[in-house]
Amino acid sequence: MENFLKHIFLIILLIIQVCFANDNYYYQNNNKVLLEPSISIARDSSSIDYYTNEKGIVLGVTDTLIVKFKYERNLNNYLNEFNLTLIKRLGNGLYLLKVENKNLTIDISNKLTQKVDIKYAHPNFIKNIIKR
Amino acid sequence: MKYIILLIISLFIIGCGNGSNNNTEIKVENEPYFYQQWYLDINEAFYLENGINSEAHIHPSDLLTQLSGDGIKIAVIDDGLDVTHEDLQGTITNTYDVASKTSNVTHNNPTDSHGTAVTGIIGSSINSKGIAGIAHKSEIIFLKYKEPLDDNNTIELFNKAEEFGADIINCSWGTYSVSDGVKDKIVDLAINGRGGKGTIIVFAVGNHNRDMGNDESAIPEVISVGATDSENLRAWYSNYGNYLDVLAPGGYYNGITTLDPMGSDGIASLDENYLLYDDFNSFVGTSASAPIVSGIIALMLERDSNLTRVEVENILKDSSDKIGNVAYINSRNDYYGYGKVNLSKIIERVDTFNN
Repeated sequence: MENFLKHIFLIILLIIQVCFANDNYYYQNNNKVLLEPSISIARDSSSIDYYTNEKGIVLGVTDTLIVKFKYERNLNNYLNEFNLTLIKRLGNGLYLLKVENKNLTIDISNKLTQKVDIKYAHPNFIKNIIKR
Repeated sequence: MKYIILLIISLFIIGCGNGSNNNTEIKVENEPYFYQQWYLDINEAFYLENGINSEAHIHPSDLLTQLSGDGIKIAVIDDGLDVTHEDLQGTITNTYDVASKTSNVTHNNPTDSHGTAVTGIIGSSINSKGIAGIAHKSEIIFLKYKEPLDDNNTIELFNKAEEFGADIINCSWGTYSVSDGVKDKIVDLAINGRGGKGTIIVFAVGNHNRDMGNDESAIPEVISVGATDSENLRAWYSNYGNYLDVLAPGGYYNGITTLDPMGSDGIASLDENYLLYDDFNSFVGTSASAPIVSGIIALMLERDSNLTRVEVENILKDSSDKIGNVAYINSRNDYYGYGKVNLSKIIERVDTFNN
């Protein structure tokens, strides 16, 4: 009986983890790129979360994301659906949007990527510039 | 009598004018450090003294005197610029700092020098003060990035280059992780910029002796530039990969003589205003190779402003020297790209391009 309860508890714990875990990947060129949370020496602000992608590149994530629309007619619908704020237009169909909570930036970017009228979406990544 | 006196005075003035022009004739050779700009042209004594391969330069013939990049706008995106430099006077036409949203592009720290060194290779004036810029009459638009840099600001910098009317954009930097949004902006400019002829965007491939990976320089629509050394071989540090286009001098044992921020600012140890070839902190890397190619492209566009981005790229590839000991398959390999740029062949090709 004790073992049975232990198993039930572990299964519930697993379900909770799956339901509430943030995405650990983003899309680049329609391919998933894995991310690992990272502590970087470049860290200078709590408004930025740092990750390392599978190529070892450190990427900062804030509460902003970049989205490219194939058709822009649903922009307002997506702003409402994900509680986003339009910061500025960056180009043809290209927008900088603000997310309510930076912990959701990657998840919302991934959800937007899956919309049929969106070409791509990704966090407004912060990167180290390498002088050459 | 009055007319005779006027005629004599006129002849005297004309005579003085001609004499004055002769004294100030524009010659790259008059620049005090031109002899050590081994990456541009051969100086036999200097080459011999420093063990430089006789083919290590870009084969300019007399084209650096004939052509100057006049009327061509080159945007340099980099870490800051000493706009007061004696060798850049009259060269800088627009500046923008993405961090402060102002025109102040001064280096953040006294020891920063990268942007000034890169800009000097392209645009240093012919004024008998220091070095010869390849495209010394081009108009330089300097755009200062911030470190670290987010995708939004990167896109803004390319938008600014477009707004200022850049024909060429030089980027002696990279991230190894270009985002879709930034890539999209670069590709859009390369295809649709310059009124549909395509803005020419030049990226240094990097100095880590590794594959270019998902770097800005690996975008097929940009011109990616690796480095050669003074032995006229690929410099050991120069990155490689499927999308490497061409090589240009970047130095190793002998650095690329260029500008350093004036006075005590910067990193120069021999002449405080210039980074000489043998300075302890000499300028070495694909950061130097990229502006050499940007300068060459300015000369191409001066010769024929109707060239499209694709035509420029094809001429560069077709005219490059197949140096090195790696076999070229279909005219290229991953370490040398299409070979090392050769200015004489390039301009010859531009001249025959439409015939």
